Amino acid sequence: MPEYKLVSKNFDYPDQPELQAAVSRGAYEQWKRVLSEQIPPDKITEEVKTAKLRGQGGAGFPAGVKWGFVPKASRKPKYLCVNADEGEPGTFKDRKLLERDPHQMLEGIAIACYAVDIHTAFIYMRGEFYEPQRIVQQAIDDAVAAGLLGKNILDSGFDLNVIIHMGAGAYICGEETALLNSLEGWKGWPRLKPPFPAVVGAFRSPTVINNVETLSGVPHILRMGGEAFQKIGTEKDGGTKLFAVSGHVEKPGVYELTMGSSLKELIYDVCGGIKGGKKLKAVIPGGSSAPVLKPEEIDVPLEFESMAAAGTMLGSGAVIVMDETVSIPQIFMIMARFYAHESCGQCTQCREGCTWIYKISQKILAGQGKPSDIDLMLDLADNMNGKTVCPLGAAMAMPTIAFLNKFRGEFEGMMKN
Amino acid sequence: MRSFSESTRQQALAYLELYPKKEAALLPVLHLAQKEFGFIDDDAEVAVAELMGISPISVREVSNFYFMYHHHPIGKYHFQVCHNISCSIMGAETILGHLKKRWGIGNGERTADGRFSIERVECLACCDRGPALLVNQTLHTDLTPEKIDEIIETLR
Amino acid sequence: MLELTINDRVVQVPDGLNVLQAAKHVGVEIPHFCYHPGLSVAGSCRMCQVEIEQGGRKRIDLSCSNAAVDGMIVRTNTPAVVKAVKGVLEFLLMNHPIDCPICDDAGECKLQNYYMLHGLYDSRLNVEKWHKPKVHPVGPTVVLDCERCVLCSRCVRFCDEIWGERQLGIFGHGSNEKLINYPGRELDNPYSGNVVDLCPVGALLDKDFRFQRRVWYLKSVKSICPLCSRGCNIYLHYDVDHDYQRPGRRIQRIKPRVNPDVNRWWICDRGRYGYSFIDAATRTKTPRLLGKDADWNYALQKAAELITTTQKQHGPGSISALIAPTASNEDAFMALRLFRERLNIPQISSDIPSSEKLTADQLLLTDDPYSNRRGFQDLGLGPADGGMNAEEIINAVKAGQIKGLIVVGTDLESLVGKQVESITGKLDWLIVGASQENQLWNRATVGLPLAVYAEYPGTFTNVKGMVQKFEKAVEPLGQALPQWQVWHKLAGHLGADWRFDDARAVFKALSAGKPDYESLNWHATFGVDKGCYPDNW
Ligand SMILES: Cc1cc2nc3c(=O)[nH]c(=O)nc-3n(C[C@H](O)[C@H](O)[C@H](O)COP(=O)(O)O)c2cc1C
Ligand code: SF4
Ligand code: SF4
Ligand code: FES
Repeated sequence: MPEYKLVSKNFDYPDQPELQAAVSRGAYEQWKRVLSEQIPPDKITEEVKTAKLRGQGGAGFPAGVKWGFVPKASRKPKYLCVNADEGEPGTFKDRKLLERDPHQMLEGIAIACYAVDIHTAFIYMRGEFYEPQRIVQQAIDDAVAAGLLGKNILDSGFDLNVIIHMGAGAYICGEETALLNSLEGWKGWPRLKPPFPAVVGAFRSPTVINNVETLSGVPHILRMGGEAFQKIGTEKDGGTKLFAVSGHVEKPGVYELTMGSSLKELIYDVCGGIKGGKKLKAVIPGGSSAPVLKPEEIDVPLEFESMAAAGTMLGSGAVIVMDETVSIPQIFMIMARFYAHESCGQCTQCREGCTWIYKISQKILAGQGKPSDIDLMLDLADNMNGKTVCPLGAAMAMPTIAFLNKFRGEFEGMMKN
Repeated sequence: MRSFSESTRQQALAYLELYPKKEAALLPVLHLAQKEFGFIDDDAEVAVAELMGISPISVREVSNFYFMYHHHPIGKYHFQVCHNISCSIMGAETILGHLKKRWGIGNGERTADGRFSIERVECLACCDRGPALLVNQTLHTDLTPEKIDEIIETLR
Repeated sequence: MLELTINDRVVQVPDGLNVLQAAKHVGVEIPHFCYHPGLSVAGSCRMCQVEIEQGGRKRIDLSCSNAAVDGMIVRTNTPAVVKAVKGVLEFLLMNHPIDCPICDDAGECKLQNYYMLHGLYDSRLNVEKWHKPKVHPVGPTVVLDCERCVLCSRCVRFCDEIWGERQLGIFGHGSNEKLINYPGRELDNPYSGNVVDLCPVGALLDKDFRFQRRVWYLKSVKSICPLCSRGCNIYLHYDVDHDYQRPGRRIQRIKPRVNPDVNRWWICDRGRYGYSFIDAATRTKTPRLLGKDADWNYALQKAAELITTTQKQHGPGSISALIAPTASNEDAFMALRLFRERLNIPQISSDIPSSEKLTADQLLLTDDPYSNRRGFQDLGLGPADGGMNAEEIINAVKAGQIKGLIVVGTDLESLVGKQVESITGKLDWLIVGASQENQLWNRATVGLPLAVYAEYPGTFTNVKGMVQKFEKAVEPLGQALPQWQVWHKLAGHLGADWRFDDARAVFKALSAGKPDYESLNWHATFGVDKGCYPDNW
């Protein structure tokens, strides 16, 4: 199965973050074309819809459809928020996009803003991204100096101000409405939906929120045409997807595959198989919120719908591979610790439930677990699942249920006596 | 009572202009305050509140919500070790154990000379090169105890 | 109106309600913590989940954040809903100290009530609870127990949205979150007591009420706050049967009573905590004659004689009356009927400067400490009605033009300071009606002990002209009587034959020809409620 390099095409050129170099490889060509040909904004949105570009931040919502939700008549300013919070454990693809090809994303931002008539874009970047911040800020400054961003871009009369907003260490701020609150200078407490951000978003104005990778794909859609882009992938999931593979594989890293490639091939062919020839024990296929798969379950197409049908999710495309040496109860504790640490504390079930399950997981590791603890945790997870303001409650509940059901024996094994 | 240096003040005021609503500058201003004061205590919160013209409660809610704001002095070199899944299976606990042995301090603690401090952090988004840590703003990856020792040697 | 189905019952509800309100409207209580109709929707406690069916699709969702829509089918009792709600309750109890026996909120606590509803008697808790600050003095009037807090954010939203100043915050992250004030800055807004009503549990409690009574011993009547001209609707909570704390104190606390047109859900702290005068040791309890206790008949007989004699000797204008507009409409009506109509006293004024200066705020408090200035005005006892104002009357006293003076509901300090002799020295007699002993009481020729608003029914007319009724909670102290009854009796001693059996009869007489008054349904608001206050959302 071949890798298909679209957004990662220029990752290996060390000078790609520099404007000159990027331009020499085609950066901003589509942006210039949009402006010079005065392509109607609606046509761009339509093209993105045709391309079946799905949100790459985890939820997989079709990007063009989302853009279409923004009320055209609104007299309020509109905003784009670029989700560069990349916090889902196991995910490191956006870091690569930011560090290795910032202009590709900036071009995507510019085209998206043009399509939705937006003149201010905020890049919400997680606070720990010091290096990405420096690189992207430099790229913005260079692009502004070259007249590709900023005021009256290429004499078109179109203005676009791109601002980096640094987070301060809170996973929940990757959730889009928490991100908005954080951008507005508040705690990252997710908001109730509706209203959806496309209608009431940042500063109570219509707002598009897209992941770094989603936006990085946009110039390619304009270059190839929506239909060709879609054809690379599957019927519902156009184009490619970056997979961040970590853990026990020979060659961990970021790989770009066409939508619909097989998870098994990704692990065994692209990443060179399990490290040291050991036996595979478990795979978390879409970030730590995605229910774990057992070795016999990994022959699934990497595509939003197929993964959902397999009882898990494509999520952010973060694949964590675990070999036979790994203790599942230990991994489970780490996962629970993460959500207990990161629950924003707003909803009762998530606030208390994550901590409760985490504490039980510690007890089990300390050899103090009781068999009834497993059913208790399953029931607590059920009481959290899908019943909270944002999906974090479910992001804890779903993997909890999967770990406990699929590896019940291993948990029970720690409860002897 | 803490007060900002003039240059920090100017930069903070510039942040307020960046957003449609001045309150939005709170996170960046707190980052500045932490850079200036080393950590965010009550006095720093009040200073930020006064500079921004918002209530100290609003500042504290934010400064206590985000994990990157510290409320006690940290070391000159702050070791932020990822202990999430990928780094753990690649040996994060070994790294944490090594640091603990070397300095005799644990999570959230600082060496007596104030040079080093350790914090367990969640995923740093470089899982393919775990175990990973940030020393202040610099990312170090593919860590082993030996590599840690080398890094510490360079921190004088 | 729109039609929806709630638990298989087709019901009609007004437009503009959410599902939770719609259900309540038809008597179905949906458990909730964070929702309050006076605050923005937080949707965070997740307690109010119900099944909502729309267009054939069922989902479990919040009843507080979903608008009731025509044709919607709502179920609050399916097994999945019950499990979800029970689940929330269990999570809330996880870190809760369950110190109900020593909690003042017991009996009014939502957590406790819902627990009874859902009977989670077998605790599944198998881990340690958090510990957080207890008995934290969060402000001058309110005490906070962080362990009891369920983090519903109602109190935070009250300060932010209703008072308009951030005084409480939820700090931290996840399950170690803590609701508290900022160090060194208190919950000291003049409406702080409302957070106690809002708090669904015993986390925020009135210092004033702390450990005073178990709430189930309280009885409640509907009343009107007498401390400014807004006329906020309140409940008086009283208990005369359990004297183990604060002996002699009958009124135990005041709670706001919802009136969308006046005070909505709120009252100010001045009104809430300013009730101790009702049971104060300084209350007047016995009629007085020349500094000695007397019985009513004798005292009134004397008063009648004084009035008659002076009027005979010096004419009607030699007597004057000053009546503070803190009295009820019935009191004012009877005073006017006696003094103006029967005795032809020309100079009667209610225009007495208040010794207390109030500053109006953005919420409820007005700048007028008199509860019934508007009612006095409506009845013909306004500042412009008497000819002389109070100051001019006092000057006339000092000039020797007035021989007999009747003073009610004021100690005249705002007019004469402490120099009471400057007027008593000029008068042949002074009749004082008062509920509290004041600087005039012991110098009065005749002292008439008056009941206070909590001790008899009546009406006040608020600053916007709304006529509002208050009920009787407790008996008048000692021999005190409602003011109107005193004038009624005095009229008898002066030869009148008036037959007003009760306050209602007086109200009927005074409201004749006044549409704003006639429209009040006297019986509609009558009655004594038991225990906890029903507006506890
Ligand atoms: C708990 C949580 C964390 C999330 N973190 C991220 C993140 O770090 N980066 C991201 O792009 N999307 C994240 N998302 C998804 C966003 O809410 C949102 O769907 C996405 O930014 C939309 O952009 P897209 O449609 O381009 O994917 C997260 C969602 C949840 C519920
Ligand atoms: S589900 Fe958890 S993280 Fe999401 S809003 Fe609720 S408490 Fe916050
Ligand atoms: S103190 Fe009471 S009102 Fe305030 S958040 Fe806690 S439970 Fe809610
Ligand atoms: S979530 Fe509806 S009442 Fe709290």
